[in-house]
This record gives sequence, structure tokens and C-alpha cells, in this order.
Amino acid sequence: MNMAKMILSKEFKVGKTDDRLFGSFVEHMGSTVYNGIFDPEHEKADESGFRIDVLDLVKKLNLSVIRYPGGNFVSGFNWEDSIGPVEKRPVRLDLAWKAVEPNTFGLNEFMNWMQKIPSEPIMTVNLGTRGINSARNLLEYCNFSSGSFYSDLRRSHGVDKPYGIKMWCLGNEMDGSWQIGAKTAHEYGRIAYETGKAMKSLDPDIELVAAGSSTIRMKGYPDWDKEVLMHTYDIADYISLHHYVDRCSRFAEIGDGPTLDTDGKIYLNTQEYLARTIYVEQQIKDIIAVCDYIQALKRSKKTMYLSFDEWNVVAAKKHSDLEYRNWKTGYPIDCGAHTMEDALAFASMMMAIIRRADRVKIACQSLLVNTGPLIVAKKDGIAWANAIFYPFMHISLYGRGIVLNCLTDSPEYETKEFGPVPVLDSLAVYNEEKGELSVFTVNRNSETQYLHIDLRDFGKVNVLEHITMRHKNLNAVNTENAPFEVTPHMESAVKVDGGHAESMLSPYSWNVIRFQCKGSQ
Amino acid sequence: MKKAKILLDKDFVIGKTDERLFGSFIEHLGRAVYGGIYEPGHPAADEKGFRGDVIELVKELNVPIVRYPGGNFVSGYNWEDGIGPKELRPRKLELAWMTIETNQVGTDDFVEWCNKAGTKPMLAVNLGTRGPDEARNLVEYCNHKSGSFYSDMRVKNGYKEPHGIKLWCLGNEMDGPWQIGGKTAEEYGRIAKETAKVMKWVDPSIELVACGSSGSGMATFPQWEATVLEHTYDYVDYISLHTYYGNRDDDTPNFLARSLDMDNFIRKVIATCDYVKAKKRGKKNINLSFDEWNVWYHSNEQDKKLERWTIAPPQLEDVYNFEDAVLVGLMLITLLKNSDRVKIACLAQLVNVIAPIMTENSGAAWRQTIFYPFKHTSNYGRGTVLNPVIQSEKYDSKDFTDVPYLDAAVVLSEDGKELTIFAVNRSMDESMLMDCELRCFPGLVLKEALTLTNDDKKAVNDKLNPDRVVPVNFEQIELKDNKITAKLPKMSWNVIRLSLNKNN
Repeated sequence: MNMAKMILSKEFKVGKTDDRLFGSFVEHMGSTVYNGIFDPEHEKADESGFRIDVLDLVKKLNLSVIRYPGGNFVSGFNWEDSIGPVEKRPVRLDLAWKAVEPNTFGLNEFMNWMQKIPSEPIMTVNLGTRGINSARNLLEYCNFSSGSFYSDLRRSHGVDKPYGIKMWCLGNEMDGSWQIGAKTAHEYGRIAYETGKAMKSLDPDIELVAAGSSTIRMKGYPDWDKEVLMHTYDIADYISLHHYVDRCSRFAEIGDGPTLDTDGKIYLNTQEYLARTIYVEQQIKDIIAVCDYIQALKRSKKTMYLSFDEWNVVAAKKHSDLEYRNWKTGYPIDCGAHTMEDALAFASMMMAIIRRADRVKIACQSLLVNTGPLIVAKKDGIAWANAIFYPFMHISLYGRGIVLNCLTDSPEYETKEFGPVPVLDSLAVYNEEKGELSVFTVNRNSETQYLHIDLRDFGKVNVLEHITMRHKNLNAVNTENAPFEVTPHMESAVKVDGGHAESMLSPYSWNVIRFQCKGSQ
Repeated sequence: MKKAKILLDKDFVIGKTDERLFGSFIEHLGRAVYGGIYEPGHPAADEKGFRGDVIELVKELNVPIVRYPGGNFVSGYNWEDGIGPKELRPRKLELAWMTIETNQVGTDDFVEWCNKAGTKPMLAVNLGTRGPDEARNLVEYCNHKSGSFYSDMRVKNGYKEPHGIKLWCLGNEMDGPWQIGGKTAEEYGRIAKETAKVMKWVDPSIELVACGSSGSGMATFPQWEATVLEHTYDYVDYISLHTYYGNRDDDTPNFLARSLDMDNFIRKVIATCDYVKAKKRGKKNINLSFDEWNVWYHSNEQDKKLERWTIAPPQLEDVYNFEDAVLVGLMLITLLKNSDRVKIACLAQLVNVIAPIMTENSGAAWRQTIFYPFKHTSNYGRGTVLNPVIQSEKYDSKDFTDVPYLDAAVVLSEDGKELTIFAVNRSMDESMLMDCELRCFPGLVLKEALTLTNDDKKAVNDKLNPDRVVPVNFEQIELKDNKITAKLPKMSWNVIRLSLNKNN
């Protein structure tokens, strides 16, 4: 039997998780907002038009932050269109997704919805078609108490107290040719710096995210990030990373947009696909290197942190509901039906991000509802959890605390892209307050894998639970008719003996092993 | 009394040391060569003129590689001047240090000395006044077997077997305005790449070091590194770092904190390497060669008074005191802690010139204070470097904040039989109670505990008192249930050696 070994010590730490690592993203895109979280006509809608069934699922995810309102959308968005009396709001053409934007759901509706979860917003300003002026006006509207034009305008809209929104993104994917008002690194660096400066003059308590490269496949990666940080190092607090793991066989560099390279529809096999989260690890390392290089260049004492504010795996299949049509409202785009296999890649990706909690402070899965979604909300139908919902929920619920240096000696398998890759991909988080240790593991292999955990200095431990998610069919998905096809269930395959635990991990499975270790305190 | 804790766990490691981490450096400068390693007529000199007393001290330091022949010297050096019959070798004006170079020692002689001293050469090629042509000729001379112009020249000069020199530096400190033929990053990147190509074509088994910045204080740091690596990434294996520290304003707490600057320098160069790796979509890592490091400041003033154009004047003859030894110990700890990426390091230098070994012409040779921490780490610091969790009180100094009073590195020997803790107490006025928990090391036995300390931080070793600052056995230490409790003297360098086998 080929046993994998893991050694955990509460003294050997990577860092503490920032709550904002457990975030998602709501964009005015496809049917995320309209016919998603907001659908006044739906039978489950509340008095504000929010779908209660969707909200109930959102609440289960324990989301600390949600990024809004885009995405590509924001680069053409006039925030003033989305406030005030609904009947006076203009209907606009959204050039990013070729949709009609009715503006019936806007800034105040979003904040109202957020309070129902509750969760904290990460707001994005438009640096595509706009600049410093509209950004500082928006900030004044949101965060200034009263006695000025935009703060009083907010109050006239029935919001007496300022929102005090702490986190702001300086535009979105400004390096992408698909972006409305895309910029060169120099152009963006300049406008981001000047916008950030003005915003922090208005409210010095806010934190700012500069837009890094849209994908590691950009030709300008990572020089875009370098150039942008050269301009913004002193004003920004984070640089953004975006990544969508996919399984297309060719990993070509692109200069021209995040279009999927379907390349004759040749897809990677399961094990090659599951290894691809290694690119995510590499991307984080790359961008840390860029940040620290600029820190040295600038002779700065400040450390730049990372905001991984768009991440997901690209689903192999799509849920069919409404068919997308140009210049309509609430028609789905990329309403992915993530398979069991996608959920494994998704779990690995999330673990890769959390494992760098020392430098990555913010992360937003993309998107929350109906586009690459955690939650699928069918027009006139039910809402259900996509397969990726569960690993997210588990890590969000049990993955907060001290990320441990998770020493794992795992059997490996051979891949074309990366050479040998460990069968087990893991994350261990110790929550001191609760005296709980969580071990998360993906078994990337078609065979059962045994795992021995050496819990060195945790004293006496008990197994709280072993949750697993697996399916005999790796292509299984959750659908309207079978919304619980891929779901986690309790396993009882962990044995504890003194400071050691042993577990059996099923083929191609997601595992959450939770220990109670209060006795060690 | 200060208090500090170390937790060690056998499984949590930083990496394995490359033995070349304990290298040194001999430059044609001052009395490093002439009057240092080479002095025909000295009572201890052998038939070739190499001083046996110096060789013995070098062997005590256990130096695996010695960088040669420079330094700034190499940027004006014609290697052909230093080979063949000694009486035919030209006397040249040496522009880097303003001396007369007699060329009585050259490449072949140095290789011979290395063989006698139990070390290997790390050769630098001249990219100041010269370029790819002379560099590839030198590789041919040194490493090609025979049957070609330069290899046959070597055979004719009495060296039938090739020298087989594996490690080469592409020039020296080319960013420095003081450098003969200094270059912009762009210029140097280009010539380094083209030189690297032809050198590796002559001998594909060699490894190459590209010049990084001459120090982290250079205005062009780290842009220099980025530009140089963008040119050379696929052709070189290492990038160099150099640093020297001093205590000119006699602020010892600040001086002892300078190893934090060294650590920061290393991390920034790693970031630069990895940034360029990402940019180039590189597969390999560029590792670090910290090929000049030491304390250097004592001799600055006296060197200004030296007459130009003399042979082997007493240049850069820093007389090291006790506090210098403590900082050198801290710098060694810093190198060990970064041994996952720093693969080569050269204490600059080895003899007389800012060196652990000092000699007198026609006279004695002795160990300077800095000799001891180097000797200890070189002899006991090879193997697997553990990742210690250190808890220590901290202090602020003029240039640094949060300086831990305790700094330490711990190495498990290659054969797994010995564990050595290198620890410095930075406190100038208090001893330190150090608790060290050693996890997963059954059957530990205390083998030896040494401390280097002195009531006078300015105490030196000299010809008359060569043993004023020497390590002594250390008694205030206890090993019980895999826990060490030690009382480290104020301002001290400490070496605690443990045996893992009870039978030893």
C-alpha cells in the first residue's frame, strides 16, 4: 500500500487567513443580477425583488466580501445611472456584454442586498471610459457623511448613514484589448495613481487594488504588473490577479482576449487537468516576485499584497435555460454546469490561493450566480448549488485561521505539462480560538489513497467529522431535475491513535477532515 | 538577562547546503598573493614558493572554492601574462589598485596552489578591457584536453592534464564606476551573454556566474540585475551579490543588525531573478552567488596614504576586532538560512586583504578574530539546514527596527549523525537564557559547546597576541529530555554540537 504522509505542527505556520480570502463576485453580466439575484417577477422574490431562495444559498457560503459591479461591465458604467428613483434611471447599452442595462438594480439595491447576507462590498471604479472625477464622486456618495453634493444626494435617496466602503478596485483588466477604454501599462499606471491619490485624499481609510494582468497568458505578463506598480506602489495596497483554469489542450499565449482556445476541442485528460492548478501557484509566486522587485527598486518599506479577485475553473458543460441573445437583459452567459471533476480542480485552486495567505489577502470566486456560478438560479424555476459550491463552502466555513506549513509526502503521477505531480493536494488550517484543525485534501488519482497524518504537537485530538465529495461519474453535474447529484456526505474513514491519524481517501475525491484539539491548548 | 526560545523539528527544513557556500577569494591585490599565499624564500615556503604555514591555516578553514584572480583586478588582466616561464612574464601597471603586477603567480600556479590547499578555483574572466575571444581562449587553455593551440600551450607549460575548472565568473562588478571598462546594464548583459555562449561551447559542463550589483546601495540596483538577466537568463546559472559592512560611527547595536540588510538584499535579488523568470517564461531558477562578503572599513584611511606603483603594498589590511567576528557569524547564519537559493558564497578575502588569515612578510601567520565563525560553520555547517522557529526579544537601532537579540541557524550534518546550532546573542550588556526544543531527534548527546566572547568588543588578534580572541569551551549548558538550556554570554558567537548517536 502506497501511503501518503503529512506532518502538521502548529508552530510551523504560513500565516493567518484574511477573511476577505473567502469572497465572490457579482457583476452586471449575463443573468447574474437580472434573472439571478434580482428577479421581482419570481415567486420567491421578496419586496425588494431579491430572490429569497438564491439569498438562502448565498448565506450558506459564509462570504466575507463580494466584488461589484464588474468586471468588464464597470469600464462602461456610469454609476449615477443606477441611483435615485428607479423610474428615472436611464436604460443603457452595456458594451462589454452586449446587453441592455435597465439600471433597476444599482448601487443602493446592491448594498441593501449585501446587508441581507451580510457581507462586505469591494467596489470598483470605472477607469475605462471615465477617470478621477467620477471615482471621487462615487466615493463621496458612498463614504462621506453629509454636507456635500454627493453625500447629500445619497441622503436624499434615503440612505442617511454613509456606507463606509473600505475596499476599492481601480478599474478592471485594463490590459485586455476586450476592455472598454483599455490602456497601456503606462496610461493605466498614471490614471490609477492619480485616481487613487484623489480617493485617498477624500477617505484615507480606504484600501486600493491596482489592476494586474488579466491572465498569465497575456503577452505583457508580468511586465504590465511591473509597470503598473512602478506608478502605483505608494498609493495601492494590493495588485489584482485573475485566473480561470481550463482544460483546453493548448496553453497558448494570447494578446487578444480571454477567448477560450478550443483548438479542435481536444481536452486534457482528468489528471492533466487537475494538475493545472500548479499554474495558479506559479502565478502567485511570479506576482510576489514582481511586487518585491518593485519594492527593492523603490527602496520602499511597504509590502504589496495580492488580491486574487477573479478566480474559477471553466466548466466543461453549460446549463441550458434561456439562450443568450444580444441586447437583451438577464440572458445567461457561461452558465457553467461544473462537473464532479471541475469541483476537484476548483477545490485545488482555492487551496492554492489560501496556502499563500501570507501574501494573498483578498480572493473572489467569479461569479456567484449564473456565470461560472456557485449557485444556479433558473428563470421561473428553482435555485440550486453547482458542484463547486461545496468545496467553497467547506473552506469558507472551516478554512479560517492559521495556515500551516503542510508537509506532505505523496505518491506522484506523471503529467506532460508539469512532469511528476503529487496525487494529494492539501491545505491545513488551525483555528486556535476554536481549537479546531481542518485538513482539506483532493485525491487526484483514480485509486484509493491512504493518508497518514502526524499531528506532532496537537496533543489529544478527536475527529469532528470527515466530509467527502465524490461521484462514480466524474462528469456528473447538479441540474434542475437532480440538484443534489453531486453533494458531500459524511465519511467515517479516519482513525485516530494518539498524535496520529489515518484516513482512506476515495478515488477522485474531495475531503474535509476536521479535528477537535482543544486538549492541546 | 535576555530570554529566547528556539524550536527545531527534524522534518521542517530550509534545504541542503551547497558546499561552495563556504568559499573564499584571492585577488591580485595587496599582499593576498605576494607575501600571502606566495613568498619564495620564506622559511615555510615550498619549492614553488607557496607558504606552507598559510596553507595549513587555509586547510583549517576547509574552503571548498577560492575565487581568483579578481575582483577589480581581473577587469584589466591579460591571463596570458601569467603563464609560461616566470622570467618571461611581463611586469604590468595594475590600474585597479595602482600597483606593479609582476605576474609571478598566474592561472597555472594558482591551480597548483589550490591542489595543495585542498580547494578548487572559481575563475573570473576579464570583461572590462576584453571579451568573448580571450574568455573562450582561457577556457580552452584550462579545460580542453589537448590538440588545439591553447590546450597544447598548457601542456607545453607543464600541465598535461586539463585543469577542469567548473565554475566561472563573467567579469566583476561591472556596474561600478571604479571598474576598468565599467558597463551599462545593457552593455554588460550583451557581452556577458555572448561570452557565456562561447565559453559553454568550448566546455558545456561549466557553470557561469553573471555579475549582479556591486552592492544593494548602488543607484542601479536592482534594475541592473533585471536587465542583465533578461539578456543572460538562459546562458548563466548564478547571479552575484557583494556586500561589505563597517562600524565607522562606533554604533555596535546598529552594526550587529547589518546582517538583516544582507538578508533583505538576498531576498530582493531572489525576487528579481523570479520576476525575470516569469517574464522569460523560464523553466530553471537562477541561484545566487554571494561571492564577496565581509566587514571592510578599518583600513580605508591608511590605504589612502600608500604610494602608487609599488609591488604588493599592504592594502586593505583590516585588523578585525571581536565585534567584527560576531557580525561575520551573523552573516554566515544569514547565508545558511538562505541556502535554498544561495549556492555559492566567498568570504572576501582569504589572506591579508580583508582576510581571516594575516601574515607578516618573512614572518608569522595568524588567525584574525573572524577566522573562527567561518571555521566553525565551514566545518560543522554542511548538510541540511533546519527551519528554526525563533522567539526572541527585539531592539531598534539607528537603521533597523525589530532586531532580534537571538539569531541562529541549525544544520544536520550530511551523515545525519551530528546537529549543530550556531547562535549569536546580539545584546551588548546582557547574557541570554536560550531554551531550545529539539523535536524528533532521539538520543541526542552534547558533544561540544564553544563560545567566542570578549569583554572588549574592540579586542584584536595580532602578531604578539594572536590568541586574544579565541573560542573557549562553554559550560553553562544543559541537555535534558531533548531540551537545551544554555546561558549565552553577552555579545557572543556560540556553537553547540550534538551527536545523534548515543554510542558515539
